[in-house]
Amino acid sequence: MMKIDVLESSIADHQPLPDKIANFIRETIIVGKLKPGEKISEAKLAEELRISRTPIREAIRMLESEGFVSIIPRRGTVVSDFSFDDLYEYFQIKACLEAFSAFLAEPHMTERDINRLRRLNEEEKAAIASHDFVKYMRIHEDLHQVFLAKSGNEKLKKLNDQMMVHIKRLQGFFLQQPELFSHCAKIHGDVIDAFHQHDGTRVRQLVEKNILHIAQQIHLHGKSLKENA
Amino acid sequence: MHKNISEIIASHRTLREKVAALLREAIIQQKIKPGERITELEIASRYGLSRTPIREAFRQLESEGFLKIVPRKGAIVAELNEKDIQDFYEIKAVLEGYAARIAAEKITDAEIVQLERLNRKMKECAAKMDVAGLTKNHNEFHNFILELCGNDKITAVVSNLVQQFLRFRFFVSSSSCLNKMHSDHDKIVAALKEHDGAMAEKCMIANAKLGREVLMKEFLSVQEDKR
Repeated sequence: MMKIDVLESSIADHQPLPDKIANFIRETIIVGKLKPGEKISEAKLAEELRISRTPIREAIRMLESEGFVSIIPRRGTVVSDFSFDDLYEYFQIKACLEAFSAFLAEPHMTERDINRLRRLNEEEKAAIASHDFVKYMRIHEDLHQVFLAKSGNEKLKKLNDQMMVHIKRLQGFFLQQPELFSHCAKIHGDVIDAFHQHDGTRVRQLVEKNILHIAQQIHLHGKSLKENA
Repeated sequence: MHKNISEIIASHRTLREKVAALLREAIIQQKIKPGERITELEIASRYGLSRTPIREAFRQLESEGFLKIVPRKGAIVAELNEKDIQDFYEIKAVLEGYAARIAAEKITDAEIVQLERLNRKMKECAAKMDVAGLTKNHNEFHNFILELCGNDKITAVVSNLVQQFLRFRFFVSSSSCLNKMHSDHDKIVAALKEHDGAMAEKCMIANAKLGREVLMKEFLSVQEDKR
């Protein structure tokens, strides 16, 4: 099942092997091929990928800290469960923190940063147009990082990173809601304009409103799942 | 089978949580001081545990800001500086402000009565110089608003932020400071009563700012004493 060229592609793009393995398992969980409660066997993976168990163990540790799997001593590793209610709550926090980060970052944003934002905004629109949503999500994250890196509040950045980790579990959900992507790409344009006008208050409002909008979609989705259950 | 596994996960988590709680408490109560070093081995032998839950507890406390992990050396109890206080209070203000905004939409008449009671008790304790009572009611007042917002994760993040400062925090008893605090709380209650989310948020942020000033004064005087 897991026979992909993990090793070869790792050598090709110089990513450390544990990262590569973690990416692979994460993807498998995100697209739903591995379901909550399912076991992940180190030994089996090692055999299938023909590599030692050390990098696999390291990859599993990474995924544990991200909340994708739980490691149970003497029992092994299982895919952890997640709830839309929890993610709705995390998204509300993300809305507050990112909006505030953007506000703090605004005075430090240079012409170059703003140009970079514009370029990324064009790139994400192109990715949406070509239905490459995985690429879109990567660009989207890069775009946010441009201002998150400039808030000057390290604790805020750390806390935000923690929220991002929880939220990774939602990628599978987002992939099924591409209309949200066009919405975000449009708002990003408005946010960039506000940065350009040095209007920190507007930047903050736009970012918060947009993320709360997404939070609301997650909330509604979780609710409809419960009703259908 | 499935249930069994989740029970095992739960009990395993509990062990890590227990170790984390133990160490956190020791740090807050200054039994382990900022800058002091602790090692996995030391804790493991002291409590007769394997190193795995301890390593995990260390990592958790690092992410909470209590420890700094140094590879091959163990962990060092984090020291706080002025910038940390500033940064933390900014975050606290943002999250508490949001909680107050949402709480204003949801609060019921009965809950307003409860909040008013806590506010009154706080003033009574302050008048009697009952610091323990004041602290208790003050925490309850703020937690009550966080809980009204209905987002457990916000409550957890804020309480984690607050915990980092329990090492320093007690009330500065100058009367001008207490008066300002009471008036802040009165304004928060009034805004919630009016279901005015924007105003509740604004007042909560102002109140957090006062908290920061008080803590900063306290912090600087502790630093002064050290010198």
